[in-house]
Amino acid sequence: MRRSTTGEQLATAMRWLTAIAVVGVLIYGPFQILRSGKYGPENWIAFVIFGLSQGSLYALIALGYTLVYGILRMINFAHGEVFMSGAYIGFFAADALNRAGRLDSTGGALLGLAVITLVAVAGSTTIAVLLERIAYRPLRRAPRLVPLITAIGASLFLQYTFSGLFGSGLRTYPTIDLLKGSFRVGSVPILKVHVLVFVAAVGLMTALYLFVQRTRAGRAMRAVSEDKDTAALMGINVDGVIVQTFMLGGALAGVAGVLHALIYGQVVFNMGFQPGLKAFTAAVLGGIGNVPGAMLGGLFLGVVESLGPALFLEGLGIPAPHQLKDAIAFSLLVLVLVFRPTGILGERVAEKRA
Amino acid sequence: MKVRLSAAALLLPLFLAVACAPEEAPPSDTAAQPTEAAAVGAESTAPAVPVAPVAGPLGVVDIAPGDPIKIAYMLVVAGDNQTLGQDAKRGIELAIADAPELLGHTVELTGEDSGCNAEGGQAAATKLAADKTIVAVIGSSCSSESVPGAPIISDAGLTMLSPSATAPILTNPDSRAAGFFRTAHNDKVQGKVGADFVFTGLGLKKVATINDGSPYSAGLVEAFEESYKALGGEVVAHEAVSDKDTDMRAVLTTIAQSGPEFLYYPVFSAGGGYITTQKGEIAGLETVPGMGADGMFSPDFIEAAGDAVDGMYLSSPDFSVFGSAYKDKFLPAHMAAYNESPISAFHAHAYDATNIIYAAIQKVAVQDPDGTLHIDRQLFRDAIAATSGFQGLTGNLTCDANGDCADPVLAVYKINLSDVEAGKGLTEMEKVWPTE
Amino acid sequence: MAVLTPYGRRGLIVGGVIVFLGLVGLLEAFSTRSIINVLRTAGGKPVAVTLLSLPELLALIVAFVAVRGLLPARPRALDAFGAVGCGAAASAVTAAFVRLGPALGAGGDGFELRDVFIHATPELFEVLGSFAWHLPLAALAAVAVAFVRPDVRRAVTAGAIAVALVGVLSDHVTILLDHNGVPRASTAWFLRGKSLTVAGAATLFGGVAALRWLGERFRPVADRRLAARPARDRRWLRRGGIALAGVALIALPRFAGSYHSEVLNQVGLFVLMGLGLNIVVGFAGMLDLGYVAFFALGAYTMGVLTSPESFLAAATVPGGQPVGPVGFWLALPVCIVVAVIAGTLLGVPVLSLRGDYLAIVTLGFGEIIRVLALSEWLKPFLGGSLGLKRIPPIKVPWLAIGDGCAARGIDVPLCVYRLAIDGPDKPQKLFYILLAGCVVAAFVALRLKDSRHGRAWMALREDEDVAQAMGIDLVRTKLMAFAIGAAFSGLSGAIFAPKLVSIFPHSFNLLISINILALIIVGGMGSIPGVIVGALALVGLPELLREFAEYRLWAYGIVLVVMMLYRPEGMIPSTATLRELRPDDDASPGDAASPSPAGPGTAVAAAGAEARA
Repeated sequence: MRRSTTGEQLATAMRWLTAIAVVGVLIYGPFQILRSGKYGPENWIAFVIFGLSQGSLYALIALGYTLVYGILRMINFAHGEVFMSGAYIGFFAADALNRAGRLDSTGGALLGLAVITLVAVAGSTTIAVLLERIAYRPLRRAPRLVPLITAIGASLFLQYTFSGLFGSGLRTYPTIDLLKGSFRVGSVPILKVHVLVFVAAVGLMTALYLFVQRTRAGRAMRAVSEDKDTAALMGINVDGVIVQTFMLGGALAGVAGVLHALIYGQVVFNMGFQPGLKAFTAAVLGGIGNVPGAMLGGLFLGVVESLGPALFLEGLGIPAPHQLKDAIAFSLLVLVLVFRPTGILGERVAEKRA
Repeated sequence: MKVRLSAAALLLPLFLAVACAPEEAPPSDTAAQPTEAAAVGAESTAPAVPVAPVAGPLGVVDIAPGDPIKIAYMLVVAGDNQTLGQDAKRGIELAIADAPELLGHTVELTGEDSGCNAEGGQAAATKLAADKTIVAVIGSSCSSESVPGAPIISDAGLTMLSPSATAPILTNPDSRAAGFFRTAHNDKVQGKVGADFVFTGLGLKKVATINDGSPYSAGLVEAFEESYKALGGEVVAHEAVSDKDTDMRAVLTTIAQSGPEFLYYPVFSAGGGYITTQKGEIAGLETVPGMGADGMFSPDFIEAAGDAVDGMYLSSPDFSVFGSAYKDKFLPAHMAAYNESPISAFHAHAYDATNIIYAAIQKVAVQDPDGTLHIDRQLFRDAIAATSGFQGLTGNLTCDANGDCADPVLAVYKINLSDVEAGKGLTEMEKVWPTE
Repeated sequence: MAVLTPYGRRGLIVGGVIVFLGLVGLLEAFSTRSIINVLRTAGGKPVAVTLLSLPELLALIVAFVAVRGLLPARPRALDAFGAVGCGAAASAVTAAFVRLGPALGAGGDGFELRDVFIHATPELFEVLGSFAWHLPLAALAAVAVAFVRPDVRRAVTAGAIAVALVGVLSDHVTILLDHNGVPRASTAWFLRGKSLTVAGAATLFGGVAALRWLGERFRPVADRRLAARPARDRRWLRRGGIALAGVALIALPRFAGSYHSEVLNQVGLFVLMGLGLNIVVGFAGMLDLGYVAFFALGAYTMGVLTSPESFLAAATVPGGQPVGPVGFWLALPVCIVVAVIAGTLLGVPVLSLRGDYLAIVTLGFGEIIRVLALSEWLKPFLGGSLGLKRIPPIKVPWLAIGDGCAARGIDVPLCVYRLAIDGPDKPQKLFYILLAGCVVAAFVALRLKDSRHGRAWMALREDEDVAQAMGIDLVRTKLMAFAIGAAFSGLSGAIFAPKLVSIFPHSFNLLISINILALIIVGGMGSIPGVIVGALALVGLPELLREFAEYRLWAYGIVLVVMMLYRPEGMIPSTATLRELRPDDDASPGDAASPSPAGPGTAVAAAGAEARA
C-alpha cells in the first residue's frame, strides 16, 4: 500500500468538502421547494416525462459516441452534425410527401414516417461513413488529439456546408395529425410523440445491445474494441468493422434526428452542436464505451435538465432557474465523476488510456 | 543563460528605436489626409464648381469618375446568429438593386462580418474605419457589436445606421457615439407599446416574461417590465431560457404555477416557435395568450408555430400606412432574388437605412462637371440626423436628437389562423393596437 | 489505356467538387470579386473588366492540385494526355450540370432544384458555364509544371501563390498603403479597386519567382560561407538577427496602422492563451476543453474591479469608505490570482480523472462559467446578457511620453519616435502591452519547459503511473500545470476587457476553447514557436479573411482537416512530438530537428505513445 502524499490528502479532503457542500445544497433546495407546495405531483411527473423524451434523444445520439469511442478511443466531435444531417435530409422527404398530400391518412402517415426515417438514416449513415473514410481513417494511429481536431474541423465544415447548400433559415417539418394530441394517464397528460420517441429509443437501444452481444458482427465489433491487432490476426476485417460501427452510429443519429424533428418541428443548420455536446456528456456520464451506460446517461441527463432547475434551484430563491439547467447538468456530471471516475456504469474500454 | 541574453537583445532595440526612428506625420494625420485631398480636389476644379466644397472637420470622401460609391455593412453574416445579419444584408442588396446608380456612380456594397459579439464588432469596425473610401456603414446587427464598434466608426468620421441593434444604451445621450443612428426600434419604445397594449388594451394585470439570454431579448423584456409595472401591472414570473434550447416545456410548467394571464416572450423565430407550440401542451397555459416583438415578425415564425400561432400577438412597425409597398414590391423582389421568404425580421429596417443613406448622399454630395463626387462627412452625418418624415417600409422615419430614427408609432398585430390559412401576409394581419 | 482511367476518375471528382462549391454558394457570392482585371474602353469611358475572378481562381486551384497529385514524379507523354483528359472530364461534369440543372425544374410538377439547393440560381449556371476552358487549362498547367526542372517549378509555383494571395488579400494591401501615405494614384498601375492589374500581376509573379529561384540558388553558398566562420561570429550574427527582429516588432504598429494592429492584438490574446493551454495540454498532456473559463474569469474580474458601473463601484467597505473602481494595473494581479485560484479549484476534483473524462469535465466547467455570467441570478453583479460596460481603457504612462512632449512642442530624441496614436485606447498602444505580455509568457513557458517541473509534466504526459512511481507528486504537478495555464489565460482576459471596453457573456463560448486547442495542435503540440505560428494561422488569417463572411468558418473546418491529414505533427513540431510520430528517427536526433512534410501514410505509420501504453 502506497502512502499518499500530503497533497493528495489535502485534495481528497477538499473533494469531500465540496461534495458535502453540493449535497447539502441538493437537499436543502428540494426541501424548500417541496415545502412551498408550488408544484403538485402531476407537475413533477410532467417534468420527468419531458426529461425522458429529451433524454431518449440524447441517448440515441450518445450511442454513436460510445460505439465509436469503444472501438477507436476517439471523440467523434462531428457526430452532432451527423444527427443534424439526418434531421435535415429527412425534412426534404417529409416536405415532398406532405406536398403530395401523403401524410394525411393514418396509413399514409405511418408509411410516410417510415419513408422519412429511411431517407434520413440513409443520409446520416452516408455522412458518417464518409467522415470515417476521409477524416479519420488516415489518422487511425496518430496521437489522440489529432483526430479530435479533424473531427472539430469536419463539424464546422458540415455545418456551413448545410447552411450553404440549404440556407441558414429554419425549416419546419409538416405536422402529422396522427401524432398530435395526448393520452391521459390519470390526471397526467402524456403527448403521443413523447410515447413514440421513448418507445422507439428504448426499442432501438435494446436491439443494438442484442446486436452487439449476440450476433457474429457484434462479436467482431467487441473483438476489435478489445484489441485491433489481435482481431485482425483472427481474421476479422478491422476496417470493415469500423465502417459498420460508424454506420450504426450514423443510423441511430439519423433516427434521433427525425424523432427530434417530430417533437420540436424545426430543423436548422446548427441544430446539431448542442445536442451533440449533451449526448457526449451523457455517454461519459454513463461510462463511455458502454451501451447501457449511454442509455442510462442520456435519460439521466434529460431528466436532470428538465427537473433540476425547479427541484434544486428554485427553492434556493435563484431567479430564472431554467436558464441554469446546463450548469446543473454539468455540475452533476462533475459530482458523479469525482466519485465514480469512469461513469455510472463504468467504462467498457479494454485498453488502459494514458 | 541563452534566454536571458535574447531578452536583453529584445530590450536593446527598443532604446535604439526610440532614439533613431524617423520623424513622422503629426498625430492628427488621419483626419488631415482627407482634408488635404479635398482641398486639392477643390482647387483643381474650382473655376467650374459654383460651391467649392469646404472640408468639414471630419473630412471629405472623393469619388472619381468611374469609381463606385461605397457603402459598407457591418453585420453578423457568419456563425450561429448569421440569419440576423444575412437577412439585413439582403435588405441592403435589394435597396441597391432598386437603384444601382446614384449621381452617375454605381453603388458598391462591401462589408465585414461582425459576429454578433463585442470583439467581432470591434474588429469589423476597425477595419471599416481604415478604408477611407467608405461613405456610410449599415450595422451593426447586435447591440453588443455596437458598444465597442460605434465609437470607432464614429471617430473615423463615418456615420452608421443600425437596422437591428435595439439596446437603449446605444442612443443614451451620455454614451452615444456621435455617428450612430438606427432604424431599429429602441427597446424602450417597443417595450412600452407592449406594456400599454397588455395593460390597457387587453386589461390584463398579471404577466409572465421569458427572454432567451440575447441582449435583444433581455433588453426588451426589461423595458417591458419597467413600463408594465409603472402602469400598475404585476410580473408574476420572469424566466429565461438559452437561445439554443428546444424544449421549453419545463420552463413553461414553472411559469404556469404562477398563474399568469399573459405571456410576453420577445425572442427570435426559432425560440418563439418552440414556446408557442409547446405552450398549448402545458396545463394552465393552454388559453393564455402570448406576445412577441419584431424579432418574431417573420414568416419563419408563423411556419414554425404552426396551428398554435392562432391568437398570438406581435408588436411591430405599423404597416397600415406603408404596408402595400412591402407586400407588393419588397417581398416579391426578395423571393425572386433569394428564393426564400425573409429569414429574420430586420430586412425592412436595413432597406430603409440604405435609402436614408441614398437620400443623404443626394442631399449633400457636390458634383464636379467631370463627374467627381465630393461628400463631406460632417454634412453627410448632419443630413442623416436631419432625416424627417422619410417614408420607408417600416413607417414614417424621423431621426431624433439621439439618433433614433425608427417610426415611434408601433402597432400590435393579432395573428389569426384563418388569416394565415387564407394566405395573408404578416402585414395584413389584424391590427389590434393602437385602437383608433 | 489503363494509365488514363485514374485521370478520368479524378476529372469527374474535380467536376463534382466545383459543382459542390457552386451549390454551397461560394462561386456565386464572389462572382464579381475580381483577382486580375484590365481596363477597356466602353462607350468612351474606361471600364475595368475582370480577367480572372475569384471563382475562376478557385476552379483553377482545384483542378491544378488534383491533376498535380496524380502525376508521377517522372511524367510521360501519356500522362500529359491523361491530365488534359482529366480537365476535360471535369469540364464535362460542370457543363452537364449547367445543362441539366435548370431543366430539372421544367418537368412541370412545380419542383425546382432551387427549392432544395438555394444557390442553384441562374447566376450560378452562368458562372459555371464560363468555366469550360479553365479546367483543361489548369490541367495543362499542372502537366507543364511537372515537366520543368524542379527549381524552376518551385519558383513558378511561388510566383503563382503570391499572385493569388495578394489578389485575395488585396484590400489589406490597400489599407496598408493608405495608412503609410502612399498615394493611390502611384499604385494604380499595380492595384485597381480590389483587383490586381495585368502589369501588377506580372510584376508580382516575376519578382517572387525570381527571388525564390535566386534564394534557392544562393542559399547553400551562403550557408557554406557562414559555416566557415568562427562560432563567435555566428553567435553575434544570431544576436544581431534577434535584435533586428525586436526592432521590427517594436516598429510594427507604426506601419501596420490601427486595423492591422488590431489583428495583431487578437493574435496576441490567443498567443497568450495558447501558451497557457500548451502547458496544460502540450506539456502535461491533460486535455482541457474549458480553457475559456479562465479567460472569462480574468475579463470579468477586470470588468468588475475597474468599471464605474459595476456593483463594486457603488459598494462601501464597513468603515463607510467607498470601494470604487480601481485602475488597470492594480486590478491586473487580482485577475491573475483569481484565475489561478479557479484553476487550482478546478484541478482538485478532477485529479483522478484521465483523458476524455477530464476533457468533458473541463468543458462542463467552461459552460458553467458562461451560463453563470449570462444568468439572471448574477445579473446584479455581472450584468447578465446585457454585459458589463464602460471598462476604462488601459493607461500606460510611459507610452504617453511621445504625446506629452508633442503637445508641449518639445523635440527631444525620445519624442522622435512618436506613436502615431492620439488616444490612450488605440490598438497600436495595446500592441505593446500584449507584446510585453507574450514575451513574458513565452519566457516563463520556455524556462518551465526545461525545468524540473517541465520534466515532471512530460513524464506525466507519457505515463502517469510510471511518473508517480518515479516519485513525482501527481497532485502538485497537475495543480501547478492547471494554475499556470489559468494564469496566462486570466492575463489574456484581463487585457481583453479594457480592450473591448465592454464584455458580454457571448464572447466566452466553447468555440474559443476549441480554437485555442486547434491552434496549439496545428502549430505543433508542446512547441512554443508553434503556438505563435498557430495563432497567426488560425486567428490572424481568418481575421484577414473577414470579407469572406460565412465561408471563413467553412474554410476553417477544411483547413483543420487537411492540415491534420497532411501534417499531423503540426507546423513547428516540438522534438518530442516528432519522435513520437517517427520513432525511426530516434537513432539520429539530428534528423528530427529538420522535419519534412510527409504524407499521412508515413507520418502516422508508427504508433503513438498512448497507443503503445
